[in-house]
Amino acid sequence: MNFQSKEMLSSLAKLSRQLTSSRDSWNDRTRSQFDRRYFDPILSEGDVIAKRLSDIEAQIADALRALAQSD
Amino acid sequence: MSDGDIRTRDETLATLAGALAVWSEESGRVLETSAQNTAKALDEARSAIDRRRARVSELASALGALPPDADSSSLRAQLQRAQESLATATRAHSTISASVDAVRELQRRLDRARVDLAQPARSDLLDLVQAVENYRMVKFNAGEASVGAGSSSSRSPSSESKLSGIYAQLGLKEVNLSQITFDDNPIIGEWGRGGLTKADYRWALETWGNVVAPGVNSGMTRDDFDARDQARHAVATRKSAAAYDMFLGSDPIRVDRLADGSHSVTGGRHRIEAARELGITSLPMIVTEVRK
Repeated sequence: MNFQSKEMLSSLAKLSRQLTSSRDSWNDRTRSQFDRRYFDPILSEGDVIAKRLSDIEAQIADALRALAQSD
Repeated sequence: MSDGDIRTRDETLATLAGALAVWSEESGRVLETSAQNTAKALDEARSAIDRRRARVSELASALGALPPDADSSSLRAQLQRAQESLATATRAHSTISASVDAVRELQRRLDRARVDLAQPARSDLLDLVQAVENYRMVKFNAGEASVGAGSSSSRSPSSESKLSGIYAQLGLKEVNLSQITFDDNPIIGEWGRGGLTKADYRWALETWGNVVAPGVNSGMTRDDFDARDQARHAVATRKSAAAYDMFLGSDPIRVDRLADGSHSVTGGRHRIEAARELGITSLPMIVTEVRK
């Protein structure tokens, strides 16, 4: 089956870049408060989710490959 | 703070709020796709186990049915391979089953991030946008006159923006909904044309305020929204391009401005009603002056 992990992980990375880019266009004293409170944790969560999803999908791809080879 | 700073900051905050909404929505879509693919992989492994277990059983029966003096080496070799194949499928199933749980946990984690971080961040950003709008309106009301336009809305676009240029081209004005009445022509019976439900209208209005208007202000065109819809395989009633058309298309909201200053709706009552229910205080529309 087509696991599409590259496409999905690419989507997550793109979303992270878009959010970072939008945030970086905002530059005033309020920004740092939002960074600490919201954006740093959001981007950090996004990184964690992308990394774990990448690991999960690699494990599934390996399992499916072994399944196919043993048929 | 100069007018230029206000406009730039306003647009930036609206764009950022829109980016947060896209992040939440699209991240959820990615994880949902992953969950669906993982479930399919688990089904595949489960089917493989069933098939291979049947094969092992079949070979074991054949081996048991052989006469005592028959050569069983070939069958024994096949049985061993089938058992190894079954063991591989069982291991794959176990790995994928754990992955299903892991993806679900990621979905829960994203949901927490949406509720605890993204939603309050958007809310606070929109509050800032509102504060800037209010600041502008204080100046606006103090120094200038207008035909009911420019009323503030937490979801309304900046009056000085790319969107306002499009408004000018289309002859649209942002009108305060409190000035509008359709008491003489109330909504009765079925809600909306073409089978659209109230929920569809509410979704379109939210999408207009949170995605389309900020997107247009950041340079997106109708084609961009169309491409976005296609990438998301959006159904007809959940297309951002349709939300675009609803306000910037060929059938905008239309009102007559009467001599007493009130506005009577000639088209778009459902959009206005749904907007009021959402707390939206102004929308773009075509205003026709009626003198008598």
